[in-house]
Amino acid sequence: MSNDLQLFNEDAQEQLDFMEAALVSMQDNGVNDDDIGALFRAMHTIKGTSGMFGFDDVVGFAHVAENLLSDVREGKVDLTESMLELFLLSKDHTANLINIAIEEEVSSPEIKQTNDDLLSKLIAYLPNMQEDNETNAKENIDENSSNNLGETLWHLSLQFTPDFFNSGMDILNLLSFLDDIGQVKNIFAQDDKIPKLQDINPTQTYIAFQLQLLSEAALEDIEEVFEFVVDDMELDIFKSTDTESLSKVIEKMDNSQLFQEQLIDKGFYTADDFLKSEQEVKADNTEDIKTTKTTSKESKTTPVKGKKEATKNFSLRVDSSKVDNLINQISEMVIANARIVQKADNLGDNDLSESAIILADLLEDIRSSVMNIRMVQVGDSFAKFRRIINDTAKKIGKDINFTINGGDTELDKMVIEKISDPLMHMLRNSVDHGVEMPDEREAKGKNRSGSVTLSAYPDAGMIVIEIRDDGKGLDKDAILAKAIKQGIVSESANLTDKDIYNMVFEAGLSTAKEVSDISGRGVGMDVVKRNIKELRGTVDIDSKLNEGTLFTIKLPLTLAIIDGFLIQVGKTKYIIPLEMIQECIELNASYKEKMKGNQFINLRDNILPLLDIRSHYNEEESDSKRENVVVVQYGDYQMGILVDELFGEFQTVIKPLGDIFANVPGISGGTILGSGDIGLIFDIPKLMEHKIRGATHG
Amino acid sequence: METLEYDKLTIYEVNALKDSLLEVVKGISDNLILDIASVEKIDMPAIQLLLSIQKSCKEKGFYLTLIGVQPSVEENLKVCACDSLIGGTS
Repeated sequence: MSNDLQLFNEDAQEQLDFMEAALVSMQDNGVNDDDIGALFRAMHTIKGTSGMFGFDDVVGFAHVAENLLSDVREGKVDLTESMLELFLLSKDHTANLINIAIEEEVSSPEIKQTNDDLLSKLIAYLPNMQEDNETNAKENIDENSSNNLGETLWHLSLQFTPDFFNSGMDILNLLSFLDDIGQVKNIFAQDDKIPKLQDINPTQTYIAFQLQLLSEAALEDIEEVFEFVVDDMELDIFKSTDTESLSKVIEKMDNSQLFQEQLIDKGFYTADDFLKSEQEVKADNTEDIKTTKTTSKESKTTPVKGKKEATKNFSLRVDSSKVDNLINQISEMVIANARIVQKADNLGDNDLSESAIILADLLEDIRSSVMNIRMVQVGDSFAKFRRIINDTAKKIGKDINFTINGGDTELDKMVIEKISDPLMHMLRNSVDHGVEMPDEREAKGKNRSGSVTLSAYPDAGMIVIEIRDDGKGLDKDAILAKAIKQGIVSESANLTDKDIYNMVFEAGLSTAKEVSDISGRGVGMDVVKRNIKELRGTVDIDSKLNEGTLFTIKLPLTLAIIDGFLIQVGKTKYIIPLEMIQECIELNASYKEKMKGNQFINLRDNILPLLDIRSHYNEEESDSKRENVVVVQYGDYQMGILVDELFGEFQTVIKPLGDIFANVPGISGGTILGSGDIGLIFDIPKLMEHKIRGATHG
Repeated sequence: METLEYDKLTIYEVNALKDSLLEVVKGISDNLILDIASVEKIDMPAIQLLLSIQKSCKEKGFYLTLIGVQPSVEENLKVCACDSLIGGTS
């Protein structure tokens, strides 16, 4: 895909998202002018940009939709529920058309059929077409006979870079698009620079254009036409009355005198205009504001306004791999600097130590700024679920109130992207299986419409995402029966409610009595869990029969770096994620005495199971005289990890371990320490699982 | 008269077109007439090349005229104000 096409595609997807957001918002909150405006602008932009690429199918369809929207905006047509539905379908169809155009495919008969169906439906809503055409025709006559007040005669100077043709955008398309947004009054091709045949490089751009466009469009609208090629050309747009800008363009030409004559010759201006303008420039120079005509005042305000908007909306589209690269490099710097800190300590060089620590602080700042680049609010990607929920609910005849909380919570973009599919699946499940049919709800004394809530909030270095519904809840017995039947658990197993609920994440277990096309095929929840696990997150279920179900997903803020706590057992250094550490205690003689060889200690009258890392990983005895216990908490479980040395906090850059470590449970990755040694990162949930299993089985 | 046997004249054809007409234009001794009846599509690089040919002809005192111009091509030439290529009077 060429660069311009890619830009177009990104822009179009964005506009389609705007459309959907506006439509869904109106479905939920009723019709309002803001959303209608947003909808219209999005359709208008798509029509415009597609036109520039010559995607006629898209333009043709968008044009009709835009016409109808324009009437809606002017209050000629009322926007009804069924029209919202129609526009949603139109939006999807537009997306299809755009894809087809970009991939240069041929429309399938189905697409053509949809196209015709939608067009006829859209047209049916248009107020009496015949009449409309007549008024249009009348307006056209008016336009020709006299300048409408809203119209401006713009002067456009289009100069192209020599390799403009490589941009893939045909100038002809640009020009004919201008014809669409206004009336090209005068135009001439500047062919002075085109060499003779023997000297020409046919793929290089020599030609340039001057034209005058009579249009109601604002400066920004015209600029939008050139949005994708503005880097490949020199574009000047100004009002034809703006003599100052005109003289600047004239000055820029190699042969200004000839150019001025051409402008007169081609009917752009009269010789008198230039005489006048000279006088005006003089008047301007004496800074006699009173004699400055309104025309030049206008010319001064227009560019300023344009500039302001540019700063307001300034944002960069950066390839995410660039940010990843930066994060990697900074991570390496953090590691390198850790080494310096350690060297300085070993040398006892206080000055060096201090400098290194300052550097470490700065690196930390940079790191968090860079990480911040990746952070995006979850709200934008959550918004698209609204449509899916509405569609799903409608399809199966349920009524759902969908609420999003904490949309401003920030999360790593990559995490959001990866969590999106699992979330969608879980939401669909909630709608399909969780919430009951309206009649059933009524019989249970519940509100006919069910509620599904998606919330996000930060909690202790993690982001928590909750999906809550007030449906029928999970049927514990059914799950257990199915799990036993499928041999996932044995009949005699003693399971807590939580254990049973969590079985829905096992592969092949779906309790849906009927498989619908929405969910219930038994694939999904296990994939959901796996995806979440891959993000170093966890997912938990809680449910009450007939009251509802709550899924709690906990995700790390980011994937690349964690705050760790460095410890040593035997000869190996390990890292425990800091956010899981509750406290560190020294395992002194009094504890040991009370342990009496058991694998737990009494911590303030609570039993704390202990995991001895030395025996767990067959570490050698260490020289350390002291033993320490790091108390970690994960979910509702607490566990003590018996270790030798405590070193303290350590910024840990997670590096994946090779395949050879894939089957070592309890180790999630590695890192390079300041000394150049390797540190292994504990996977605390895994270790706990191991400990708990060991306890129940043994 | 030269007949251009292309169904489209675009940036992909301009190099070949230039090569094929270079000798013709060099040895030109009369007004040049190009039959483009087979051409259904034209883009700006091709139009630019035609303008270059027109320039070279003019320099030797001859005109370039396009004949057999299809409506879609004529439309394109009009959009960029290069329809003078058809009339051959420029």
